Amino acid sequence: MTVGVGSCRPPIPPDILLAPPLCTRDLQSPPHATSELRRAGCLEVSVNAVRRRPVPESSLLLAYGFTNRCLAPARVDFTGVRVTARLADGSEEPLALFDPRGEVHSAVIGSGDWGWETLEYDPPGGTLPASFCVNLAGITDRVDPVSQVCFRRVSHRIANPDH
Amino acid sequence: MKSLAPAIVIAGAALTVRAANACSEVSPVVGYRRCSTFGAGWDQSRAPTEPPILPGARRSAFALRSYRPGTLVDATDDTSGGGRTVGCLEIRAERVADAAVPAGSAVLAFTFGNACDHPVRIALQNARVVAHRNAASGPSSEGLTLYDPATEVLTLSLDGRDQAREVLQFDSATRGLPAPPTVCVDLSHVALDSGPALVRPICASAAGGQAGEHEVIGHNWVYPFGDGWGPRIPFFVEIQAVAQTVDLSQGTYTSTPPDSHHFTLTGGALGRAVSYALDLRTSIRLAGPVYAGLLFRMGAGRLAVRAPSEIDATGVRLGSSFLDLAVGGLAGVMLGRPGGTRVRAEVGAGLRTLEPSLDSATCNAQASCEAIQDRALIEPRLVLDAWLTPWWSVGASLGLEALHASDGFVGLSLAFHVRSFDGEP
Repeated sequence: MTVGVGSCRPPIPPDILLAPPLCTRDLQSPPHATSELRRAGCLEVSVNAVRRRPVPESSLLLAYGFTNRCLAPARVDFTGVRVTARLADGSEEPLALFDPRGEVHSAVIGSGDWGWETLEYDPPGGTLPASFCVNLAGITDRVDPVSQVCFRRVSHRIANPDH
Repeated sequence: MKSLAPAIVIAGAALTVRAANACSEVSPVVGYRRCSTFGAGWDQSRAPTEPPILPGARRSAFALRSYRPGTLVDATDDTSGGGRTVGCLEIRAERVADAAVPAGSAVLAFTFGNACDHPVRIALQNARVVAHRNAASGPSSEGLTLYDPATEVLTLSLDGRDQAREVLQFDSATRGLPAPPTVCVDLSHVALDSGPALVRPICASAAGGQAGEHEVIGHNWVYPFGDGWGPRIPFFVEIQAVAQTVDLSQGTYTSTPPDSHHFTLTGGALGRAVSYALDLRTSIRLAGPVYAGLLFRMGAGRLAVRAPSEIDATGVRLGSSFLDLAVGGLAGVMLGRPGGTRVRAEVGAGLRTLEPSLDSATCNAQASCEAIQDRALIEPRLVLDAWLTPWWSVGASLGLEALHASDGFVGLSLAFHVRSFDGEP
């Protein structure tokens, strides 16, 4: 499901579609940037490819919004999220999470609570690949292994999610 | 006594107070945030990490150390950095380590002092930093970019004889690179007031130390660029002990309403006296040598031998002392700085209140026991300041009361200056 852009959303209520709790104009998103919503165990996670200074254009910036739909606290582990670049020959290469201070850790989110984080991923060769995928299987417990979101890049912009 | 005492404010105490929690976020992206960490607001597994509500001052405003010229540039370059002189500025650039920044970036600590007595502009954003690497294809050089997500590294003035330190991060365009073996920094364009300068680059091949927790600009929660040395209001506070002659015989004294009984004391019953007072003068240099401010005075003295005397038909008699209070504004000009001193000419204008004491035993229940005279105050004075440090001075002054020309005063003062030498150009 695609989340529209161009509007400023209020903070995320726990029971509705997720979106990054920032005005998209603040994020300097391209007008056709997209967001994907996935159910991952207790979590509903939206993934939004955005751009924002001072992140280099050659890096991938993903804004995650998430809520816990269970009655118990749930684990949220962004170190378990795998972001891979799809190269022209069909092979995949992992993108490295930019975490210079080592602050990204396995965390816990309360029942009905929501949060958001914006993370930068750096391609191995310093060049953003034409397409990339975000595998959410490791973000929490008991996740459907096909919880993957893929995007492809048009020119210098990110657009059109692949399903 | 009239309500002048509450007006005496110790303004200097406010100088060390910083606005609480001044952290402003520059980016929501993990790794770029200054005011929060990953998980802030939702992670229940860890206690939230927030900026301190009351960050301490980076350095005490009252214990500033003046820069001793040559300190930063006397030593020869070593593997971690070196010092250069650019006009009045003396700058040492040292490579430091910080685990919080990408390995391929360089973190440089700039320590700089102003060898002159006047402010000079410094533009650290003009420092050109080059990383030299040994690639498989041969040596390569890459200009590094200043990491300044909040655009806070701006041209600022460093006061005369002041010194400061800033730690900046310079990034490679390519992420994931190892630390560059050698980093060179060219400071030729950092001092804007010295004109074009050709300064030999400083090259560092090893970190000379560790960056402090709240030092690297763009990463720290507490101190923005320029904190402790950047823009400051040229404000100075002067506390002066004054001895002045007062002709109490001029004018009349009245009681204050709503007493049921009023009397008038003609000044003829009083003579000349000496008032010993404490002045608090707070001033701001407005432009060039011109300054303006506020004047508060609280003093007292003993009445001359003619007191005590009966002052009216009710039998109320004078006591033995009087109060001398004043409040007003002042304006002045800094005339010159001969030989480490400074001469100022100043005029104070306002309201002066004189209140001889009355013998309360002679006051009855229905009568006022106050005798007050309010006078206009116009008070020129000449001040000679001697600098103890660029931020502290002592002064001696001579003055007179223009509307009562027979009254003069001498004073000795101690002054604290928020900007060194009041930031005089």
